Amino acid sequence: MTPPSMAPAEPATRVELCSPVEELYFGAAAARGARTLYLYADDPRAEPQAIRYDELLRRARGAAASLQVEAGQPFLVLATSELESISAILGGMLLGALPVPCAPPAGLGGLSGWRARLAETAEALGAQLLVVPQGLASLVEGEGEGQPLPPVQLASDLASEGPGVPGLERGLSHLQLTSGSTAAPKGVQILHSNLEANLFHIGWSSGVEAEDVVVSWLPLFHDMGLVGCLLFALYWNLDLALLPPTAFLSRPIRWLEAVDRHRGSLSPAPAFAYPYLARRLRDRDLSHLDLSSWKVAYCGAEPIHAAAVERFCEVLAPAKFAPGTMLPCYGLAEATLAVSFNPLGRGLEKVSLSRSALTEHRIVKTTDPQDSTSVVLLGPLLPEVQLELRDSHGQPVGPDQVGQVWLRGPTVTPGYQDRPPLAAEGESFPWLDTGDLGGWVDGELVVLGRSKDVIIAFGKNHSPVEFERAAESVSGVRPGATAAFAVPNSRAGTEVPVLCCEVRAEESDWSRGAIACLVRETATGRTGVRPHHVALLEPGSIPRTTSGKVRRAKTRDLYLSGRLAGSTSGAPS
Amino acid sequence: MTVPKAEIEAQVQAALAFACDESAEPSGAAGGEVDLASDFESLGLDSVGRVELLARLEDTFELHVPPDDAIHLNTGRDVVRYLARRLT
Repeated sequence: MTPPSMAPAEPATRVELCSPVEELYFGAAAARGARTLYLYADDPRAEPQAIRYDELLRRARGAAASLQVEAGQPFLVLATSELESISAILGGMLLGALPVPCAPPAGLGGLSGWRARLAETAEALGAQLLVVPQGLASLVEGEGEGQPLPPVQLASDLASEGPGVPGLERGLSHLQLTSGSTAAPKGVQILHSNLEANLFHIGWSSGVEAEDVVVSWLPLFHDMGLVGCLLFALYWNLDLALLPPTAFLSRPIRWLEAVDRHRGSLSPAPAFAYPYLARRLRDRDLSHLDLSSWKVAYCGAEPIHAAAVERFCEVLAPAKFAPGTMLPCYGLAEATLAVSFNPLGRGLEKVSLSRSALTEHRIVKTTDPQDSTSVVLLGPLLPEVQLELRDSHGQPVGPDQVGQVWLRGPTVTPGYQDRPPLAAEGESFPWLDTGDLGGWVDGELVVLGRSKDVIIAFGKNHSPVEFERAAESVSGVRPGATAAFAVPNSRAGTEVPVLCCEVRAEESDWSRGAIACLVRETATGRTGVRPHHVALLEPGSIPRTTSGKVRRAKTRDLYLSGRLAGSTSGAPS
Repeated sequence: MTVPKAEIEAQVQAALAFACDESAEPSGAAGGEVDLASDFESLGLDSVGRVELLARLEDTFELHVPPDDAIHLNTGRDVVRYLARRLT
């Protein structure tokens, strides 16, 4: 498939930019001839809508002129991958208001929970407006249950052109919601200067060229989708093929077809997407696809399981996907997006670290399979990013030690909306405590989990992942549905590990007893620590974030208050 | 296209059983019976699982379910009732 008919017919018109903010995102398009955004719909038969970036600027100016919000005010946008939503987000930025891209509903069910989250978000951030694409209008009508939503403006009512806001300086750009493990939604304040620094270095480290094409199915309410794809393509003036996230989740092959059709070269995804696609497409013949144009498949946003990503490369090999395309990276919204990048073209590289040394927070490579855990290298830091590894008192740790990852530099954001700023008075670049644990291996970053999740038992530091992987190796335990955490134990005088596992509904009481025993033995064998309690739970008991990550701290709270559903067997030992 | 309600129920049951057991093979037999009255969250389906289940049903019945319809369908029984209305 080739896309010749998709090029817009009318010639580019000269655009005069009227503010430093417009310069940042539309400067390259104005200088070098605007590239095109191809918007795909959920319907796989529909041809994409093509909008050149000069037209997109006109739309965004129209939105800026008609949004019912003042400069400096936050407002929520239901961020579908449609022109209406995109115009509202960009329009807010060109106006100097603060768009907060929010998740639209997806899949079956969940209306009341979704509405409640939206209302909570508006309340927490002080948002006085909710912009909704026409197709979702019926979902926000009426009173509904619980907290009220802010006043609604339909995105289809926004003007399609406007004069622009002359002279708007580069201050705050938008608020990025984080799906943390705490209940209250938080909005990370992103500055245009944060974006400028990160977008430049991401492109530079990706070896970006004028002919590159970005392909994305990532949601615009995630940083990787908004910053890493939409704003990245605008900043560098690259063609962007954008699919709705549900198009990928429903039919994962559409991602690959879009890369093939557009000769896509830069296409990112969170780590879960690679094994997801491999699982869905493992029995399909992919040899009709040609993915040889794909230069960089960024992989990040969550812990990377090497074997799962390698499986993706195998499944895609018949479609000419080169394994060197895979580019593991580390980043977080509080540092705009990207922090470290694998070297270009190398592909996923893993290293075996000693588990026993890690319990003492030391990094030691090993060849002993009995004592090793496989960790993915996340590359060197992007330019201008400073990173320090510190202990729990904020003091730097020694070489070859595991420490908490602290960051400083132009991409570190000022803080959260309506919370105290990160920087002390007069400080220009503050240090950010990411809460992640990391270390250095051969000059590259490795990330070893969240510091608050570490289980300290009998003076050793254990990653919850080690317990969870052991549990998931036992037949009957649901994959990805386990949570390990520490609870205080006065008799032992230390914290002790608890391991919660969802088991398949059809398991009998008898087999549950056997599963609990096996989980305990396997986890003890792997970590050297006997779990104090193995709680077997019904499917759906373990709380997750909206992006599907297990919320260990929340699981721990529920466990301690006796509110974990369906806890059946495996009494404390 | 008119599809008998019993068949709709059987297909929804099969798709749901498969969605709730990620370890099952797509071509293999479905796992145990899943209660059609349980809501999807209590069956352990996360947001990705609920999108995947919807896609499977759309393929099976060759129709499109708009998002503002889908969000109201919380259980297997809701889905059966909705499909019966669309398909008869």
